[in-house]
Amino acid sequence: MSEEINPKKTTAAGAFVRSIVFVLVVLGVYIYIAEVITDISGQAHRGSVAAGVGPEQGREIFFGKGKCSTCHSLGNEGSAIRCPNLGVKEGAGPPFDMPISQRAVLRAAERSKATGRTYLPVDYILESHYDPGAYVVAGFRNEMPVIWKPPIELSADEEVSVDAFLMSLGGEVDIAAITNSPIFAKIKEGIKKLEGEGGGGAVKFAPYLKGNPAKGEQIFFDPNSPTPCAKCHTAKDAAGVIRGGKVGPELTSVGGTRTPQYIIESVMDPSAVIVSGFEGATVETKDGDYITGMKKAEDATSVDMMIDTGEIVKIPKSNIASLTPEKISTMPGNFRELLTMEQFHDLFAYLMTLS
Amino acid sequence: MGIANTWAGFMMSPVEIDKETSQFVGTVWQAMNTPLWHPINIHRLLGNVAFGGFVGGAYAAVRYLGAQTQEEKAHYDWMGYISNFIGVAGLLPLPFAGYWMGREVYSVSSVMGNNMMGGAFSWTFILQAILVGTLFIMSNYYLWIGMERIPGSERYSKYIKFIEGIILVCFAVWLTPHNLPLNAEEQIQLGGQYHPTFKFLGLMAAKNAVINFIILCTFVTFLLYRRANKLDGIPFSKQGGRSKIILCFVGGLCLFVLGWYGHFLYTANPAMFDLPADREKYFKVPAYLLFWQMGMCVLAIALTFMNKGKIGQAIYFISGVICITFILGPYGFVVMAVANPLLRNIAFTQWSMMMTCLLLITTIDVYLFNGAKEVGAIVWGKMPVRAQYVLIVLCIAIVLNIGLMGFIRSGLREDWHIYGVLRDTSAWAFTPTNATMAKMVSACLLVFLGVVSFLFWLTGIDSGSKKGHGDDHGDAAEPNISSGIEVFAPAPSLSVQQRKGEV
Repeated sequence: MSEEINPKKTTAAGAFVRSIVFVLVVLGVYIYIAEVITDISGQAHRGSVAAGVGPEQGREIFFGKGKCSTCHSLGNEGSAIRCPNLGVKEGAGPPFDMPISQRAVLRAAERSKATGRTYLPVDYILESHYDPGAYVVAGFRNEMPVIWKPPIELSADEEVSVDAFLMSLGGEVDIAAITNSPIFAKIKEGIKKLEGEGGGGAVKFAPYLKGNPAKGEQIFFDPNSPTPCAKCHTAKDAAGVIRGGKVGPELTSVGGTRTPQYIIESVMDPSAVIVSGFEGATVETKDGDYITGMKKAEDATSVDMMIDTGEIVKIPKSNIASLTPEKISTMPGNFRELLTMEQFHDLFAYLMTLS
Repeated sequence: MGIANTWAGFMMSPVEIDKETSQFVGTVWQAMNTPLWHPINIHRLLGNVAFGGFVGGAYAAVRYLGAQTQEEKAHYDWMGYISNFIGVAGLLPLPFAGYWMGREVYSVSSVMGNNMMGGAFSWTFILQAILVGTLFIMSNYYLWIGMERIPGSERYSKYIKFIEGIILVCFAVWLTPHNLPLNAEEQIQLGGQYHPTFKFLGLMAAKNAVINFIILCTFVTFLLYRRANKLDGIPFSKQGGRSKIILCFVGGLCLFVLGWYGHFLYTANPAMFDLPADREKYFKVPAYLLFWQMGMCVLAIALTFMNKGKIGQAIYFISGVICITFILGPYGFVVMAVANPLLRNIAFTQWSMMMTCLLLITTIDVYLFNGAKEVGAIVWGKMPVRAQYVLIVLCIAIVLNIGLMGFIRSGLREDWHIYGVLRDTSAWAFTPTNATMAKMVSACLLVFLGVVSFLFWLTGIDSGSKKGHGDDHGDAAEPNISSGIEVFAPAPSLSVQQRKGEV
């Protein structure tokens, strides 16, 4: 017989079972790490959307849908270096010692000289979105995508918001200057062409059912409907009157600033993305009191909480023992039980008219 | 696999699409031969080599753990070693295949490319870094443990702690994320959004430097393992003409690669990279280093001809490490700041230097120990149990990594079925979280291992009925341990001996 070197007599089956247990333990560790990473990174994606057009929305697009932050940093915020820093980075030489709105004054002068046409600073910013290759900053490649074309596909309102945000970096925001620019007209025309019936490169989103916006409006405002949204949200009714509650984000122009998929997700899974300023939180004070509500603002010294009465309570940070953010939205998450398929599409159709 | 890769390539990098009608207007070949086809082919091919090796290693490990005889242990120990060797061989070039693929993804769409490591999937790459680090550390660890069964290896064991330290430090750098989601209080504590020092470790320049260093350290481990029981071989000058021709050929190949790319960088016009003319000087540094390494290559070959091959190896290796990690690594930060498009070329410079290191030093090593006497034979079957669990971890890590990379590659399209052309409007058009991905891939791994186990169980039924374990060894050469020395003999002869011994 061969030499026996396995005195404990581990059988093949025993070794197999031990191996399975070992595999399960390793997988458990792996999944735990993935859970931790998801938890850490998930916080970065929370708190984004605000309805309307303006620099605040533009900032959200800059760091979100527009993916601008994957190439551009804003001063010391962000780490991207592939494309020019649009803020002021410490130690940067001219012209990068000025934020983009001031830099745009110099660039516009350069563009005017090079093309013989009059360029305003906002025209320079818009041109960099309409035709990014028209002027490439020295030291960088001509690799910026056209952000209103696929795959990013910003809408006209989103484009205005991004431009407003860039103008706000060291300058005054002038929405009219953006929308009156001939270059913005070209962008708008391009977007319209993309969205045109039968034309356009991309196949557009289409709901499964064509809803009735009028019925949807009734669902939104009727206090007796299954989902009386106006109790918490403000929107424009058929008479053009803006009304509703202030507990949730304003939806006056949600259809023009958000993608259909985003709106559907917000209704069906409200906790997926909680709008900035509407995150639930619980504060434990050093006196042992608990204050639950929505965190509306925070600075170095205090936290503003909106409590259930709608009142804003300012809590000094020196009196806060802990602040625990809630991962669950205060909006009910059971709309799929409350609404029929038809009702949901009616409501969705109404929301899409809000632009 | 190549055929299956065509539609993966087309979905990510569609070509010949009429922009007005969104219709495909090209030929079948054009639909197949998309920009990402070959990067995916190469990446998957190398991945499958590593995958096959490590899966074979796990099988050998399980059989080793349940082995009842010394012959069985010897066989599965040997099988585990060979499998790990194949796995590591596939693993070494994988980071560069991945880098090439990432670069091509970026070339197809900067939006999709940025989404990889700077956007939605940047945290998935932290998980990937953990898995890749596990693969390198564990495969090294297996080789270090394996040296314990090789007489003479004690001469080299003192170096292992240094290699281990370097790999762990490099792994820590490899793992360092650049972006951390911090709240206001955490930022105040840290002094800003980024740590003043560690923020640099999260950048690509640092990653490129350390991954090359990890690979070179793994290579050193392999060299130590290889020469563990060997004494000096026949002096190179006394070896036949064939060895000299082959060394010159390999050296010539290395000189060609280094020279070709050095010349390209030396004469490159910055305008090709959309850079102003005054950035030309930044191209010269990597070019000079390539030329320097050419000189070291000639010196290493000359020293080998003078029977000082070990010194030649050491000079070429140390010079390579200094150039790749300690000069081009920090230089990458300079380039990122003033001539960012050049960073890709810095990465290729590092890769070409590293590959020539592997190629030239291995070739010298083969002839350095040609005809070498041995301190003693490798004692197959004397591996500790922990080494077998290392093989199982390697199998798990490679399968999880393959699943994770598939998730990233496919997920980069986000809500596009065919990128930029056809939206995915289904209810499934969303990107799962990393936690969901990890659970799904883990479930796939369990199913895969279950199927593989069933398959091996089926094939084992026949050999079990013959009351022998040699029949499932296949026809590959394997160690004849009964002779007491490390001799490789065809499997059937071992089977016969075993049966004789057991009857």
